[in-house]
Amino acid sequence: MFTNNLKIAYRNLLRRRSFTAINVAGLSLGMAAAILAFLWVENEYGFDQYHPVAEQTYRLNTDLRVSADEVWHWATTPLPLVKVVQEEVPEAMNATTMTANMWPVVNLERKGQKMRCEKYGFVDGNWFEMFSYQFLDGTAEGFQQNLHSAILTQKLAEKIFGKADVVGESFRLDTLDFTVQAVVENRPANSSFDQEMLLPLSFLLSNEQRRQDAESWNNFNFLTLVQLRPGSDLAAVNEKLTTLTRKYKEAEDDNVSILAQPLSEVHFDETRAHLAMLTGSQKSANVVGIIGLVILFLACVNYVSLTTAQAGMRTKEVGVRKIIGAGGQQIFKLLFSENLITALVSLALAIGFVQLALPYFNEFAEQNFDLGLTNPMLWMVAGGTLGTTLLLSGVYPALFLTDFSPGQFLRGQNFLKMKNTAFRKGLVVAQFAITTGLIIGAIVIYQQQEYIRHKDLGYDRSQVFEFNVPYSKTRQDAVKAIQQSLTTVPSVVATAASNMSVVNMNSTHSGSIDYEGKPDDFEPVVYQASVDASFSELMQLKMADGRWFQPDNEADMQNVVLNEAAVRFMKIPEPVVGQKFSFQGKDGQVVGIVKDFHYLSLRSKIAPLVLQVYPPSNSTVYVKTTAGKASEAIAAAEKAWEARYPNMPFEYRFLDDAFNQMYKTEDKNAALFKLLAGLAVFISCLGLFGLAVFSTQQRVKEIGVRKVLGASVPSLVGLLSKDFVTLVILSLVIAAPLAWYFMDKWLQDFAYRIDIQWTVFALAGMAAVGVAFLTVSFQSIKAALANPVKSLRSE
Amino acid sequence: MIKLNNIERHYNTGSNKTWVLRNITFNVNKGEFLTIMGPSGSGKSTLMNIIGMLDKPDNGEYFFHDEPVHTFNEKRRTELHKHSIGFVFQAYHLIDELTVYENIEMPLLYKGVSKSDRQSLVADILDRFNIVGKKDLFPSQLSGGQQQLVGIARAIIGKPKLLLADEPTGNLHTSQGEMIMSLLKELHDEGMTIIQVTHNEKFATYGTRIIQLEDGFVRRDEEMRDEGGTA
Ligand SMILES: Nc1ncnc2c1ncn2[C@@H]1O[C@H](COP(=O)(O)OP(=O)(O)OP(=O)(O)O)[C@@H](O)[C@H]1O
Ligand SMILES: [Mg+2]
Repeated sequence: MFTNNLKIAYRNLLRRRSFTAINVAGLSLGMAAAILAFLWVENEYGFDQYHPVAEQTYRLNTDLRVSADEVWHWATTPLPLVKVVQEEVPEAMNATTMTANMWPVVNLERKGQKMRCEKYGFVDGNWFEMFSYQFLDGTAEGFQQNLHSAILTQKLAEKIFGKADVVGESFRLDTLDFTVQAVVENRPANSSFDQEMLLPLSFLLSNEQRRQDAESWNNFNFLTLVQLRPGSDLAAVNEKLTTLTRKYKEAEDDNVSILAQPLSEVHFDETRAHLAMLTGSQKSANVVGIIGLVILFLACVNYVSLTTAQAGMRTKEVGVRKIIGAGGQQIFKLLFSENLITALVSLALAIGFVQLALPYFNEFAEQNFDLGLTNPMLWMVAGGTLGTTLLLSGVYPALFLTDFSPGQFLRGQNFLKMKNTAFRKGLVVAQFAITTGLIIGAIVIYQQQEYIRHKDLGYDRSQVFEFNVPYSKTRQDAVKAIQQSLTTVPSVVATAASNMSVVNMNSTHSGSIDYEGKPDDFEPVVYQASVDASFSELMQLKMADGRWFQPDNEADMQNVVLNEAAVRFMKIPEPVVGQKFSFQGKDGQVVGIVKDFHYLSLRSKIAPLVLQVYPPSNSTVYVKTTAGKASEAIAAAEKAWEARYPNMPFEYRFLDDAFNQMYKTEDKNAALFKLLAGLAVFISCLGLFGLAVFSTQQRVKEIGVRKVLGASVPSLVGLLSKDFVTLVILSLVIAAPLAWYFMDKWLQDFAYRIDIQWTVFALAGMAAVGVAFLTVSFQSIKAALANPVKSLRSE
Repeated sequence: MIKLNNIERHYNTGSNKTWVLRNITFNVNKGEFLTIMGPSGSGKSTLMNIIGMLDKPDNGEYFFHDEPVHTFNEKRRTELHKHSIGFVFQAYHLIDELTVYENIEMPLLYKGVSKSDRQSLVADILDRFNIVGKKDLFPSQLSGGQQQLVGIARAIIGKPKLLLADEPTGNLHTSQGEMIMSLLKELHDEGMTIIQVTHNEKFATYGTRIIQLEDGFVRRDEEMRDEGGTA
């Protein structure tokens, strides 16, 4: 009986090839997309959990109260705290530290081959006791004793040496030779610490000046990670840490607190994002997860509506079987085996799709996800999907049909069909409401991205590239010399310098500001940057009042330029220009007010900014090129660079790229959203297409009769498509307010954002209706064009 | 074998009742070949469904082998009809996805007959109906008469006590209809009790008794003298 069922099920599926194909395609695509989305989410939520002592590991964070209503949150602490924790906090079993932001990049060289490395860190001897690294070659033994040793990931080792078994070999790091101490496996996708190269902290501290800096209780430059005894009282630990820090800091004020944060919470803590650790957005992870679920839901809905639609067509078969003697159970088993086959085939295909898509997905996500067949998530998705689809599409119609009494069939009734058209229509509406909602979301995201990309930032970043001059005692001269040598180059319009890139001057200061009329209890926090005299003209900044810094004006070294926001924020008394202004120990005056420009990401409002000229800190050089002559200008800059830094690769980037880089995560999330939305649309259309096939098939005879009676092709297409298009319009009505609500919420994250126009809904509606109409009319036209004699004879 | 006592059936059309069967009382003996005739809409199919236990009368009593079918619940009726009654339909109602062989075999599967027994039973009947060569074809590949042969084969393979045929020749040419009728007669001669519905006067004479329905009432009930049917 069972093989018989399978055989019949198989034949049935083959006979209704198009249905089966649509069912399998929709379900497997949906599952594959969901599996990929969940891989992402699982990875985000599982960060760092693979370390053996992960559950007991905490990161020590610093909270620094800078004013009555402002607290700064840091992921770092002073270096001496590591030792103090181990010696004076009984709850701590172990502690370790890492620092990464000594220099933003280091230059590596091997046999004349130059490259840069940004992902590196200095760690102490305990690091490998607390965090899990798979050593492929060599060990961490003696790492701290050998100052010039390095531990590389396989990836970096292969990049430098072209192979991985390189323990004992050496390479040049900036100006020193380092020996490879060990090679470890590449960092897993779910590791916060994604450093490609680890260097001994002892090397960093071997320089007397740096050691003094690092060991000061006033510098917060070290990540501190502790392993607490199981069951430790966190509040008590925090209390002890804070007290100890205040004691050693010899600070009477109580503005510093130290807080231990579980390692599992570190990844999503965006307020304490730190260069040395990969931070993720819990919100994005949740959105991706939800969309994954939604796609899975859409795929299930397809499957259910198509299968129940077909079940209605099987009234005859079921009726006959019952009259001949089939029991309810036997009917159930028959219908169920069909569903089981479809579901299992879909699962197999889904796993295949995932394997095919993984390399591309990894490239896109910059991850190295891997889907093992032992991954429980895979089986949860599979089980959940198969369970849902089988329950809804297998059990539900099967129960309907088993209940169906054969007498009804003989009287020409189609019991199931009558009962579940409403059900199926509901499914179509739900499905298209979601789809339209996603289309609206994608349009809004696209518009916001375009808005940001084309917003007038108050400065002109076109045809400007920048590069960084590395720190040295003679940097000031180097910057000057490079600028000097570019002035005579015809392809260069102008050059300028500042201490950080204009696209994101994210550095705040407070404490040293004074001016006429400043209230005593007001300690303003402002953004600050150092620029030069040519900066304003190169960037096309506009002055609201006063003037910009002048070249060779010694007095301007003490003076500041404020932006309009700063003037408003600090309530500088009129006339602003000419007011005395003390800043970072310099006593000068406000020489000008620059019109507000966007020196931060558009997520934030334009904040108060104090600009000064401090040449020793200026490291970013800008070059504005004449139109169409960029490559000549770059070549000239490279030549000037090589004259100063023959051993370092010359790396430049256009401000446009730097600007886009700032929105990279957002763009990536947006791209993922659009991809998933596109998939959702596709899956929904598959379902609609299936239903259209089904309903036209059911009406073949009616169409034939109408045609014989003289109906025109367009009128038939209209007749057949009308129902679906009505449903799709209904879903638009449901989707629009919901989508508006969620997208409006999303936009609130941007200080500068678009308003959602009604045209978005019109566009999304047109897209949904258009796609639906195309999908459906294809079938309708086919049916309407068919020869009526044929369809009538077959009855 | 069958005893109908005051059987009535109505449908609710809107707010009024439409009576389809009124006051139907007659018996059918074992071995009879009963023909039911009557104008379209007179209630023939409705009566057949009630006799076939696919439908329930609103009033009256129905005894099948002295069992009070009218008191049975749906499940018991289903059990009884499965084991005792074979059906032949005007529109054949073969299952399109199954071959001739599998269509005929299906009732045996539902009865739980062993595989070897099924094979020999199906082979016998294919042989008898002369359709061995067609056994691997699908219904759509057969002529109407051939499909009805398969329909009859399927109806009798489970050796039912009663064969119900609602217009078995309704969709067929006269020559094919005659072939089907002679087959039914043959089955009757072997002792099968048969009830058929037909509009064809000539085919009615293959039976032993004719009941004429009109507006739900039995108008006429007569034995076919020349045949001398078993009483
Ligand atoms: N489900 C139903 N609901 C309402 N009325 C019905 C239903 N089924 C049948 N009828 C009515 O019952 C009456 C008898 O129908 P039935 O099918 O028994 O007639 P028939 O004698 O078999 O006719 P024909 O020779 O055309 O097959 C008809 O008037 C029909 O309209
Ligand atoms: Mg009838």
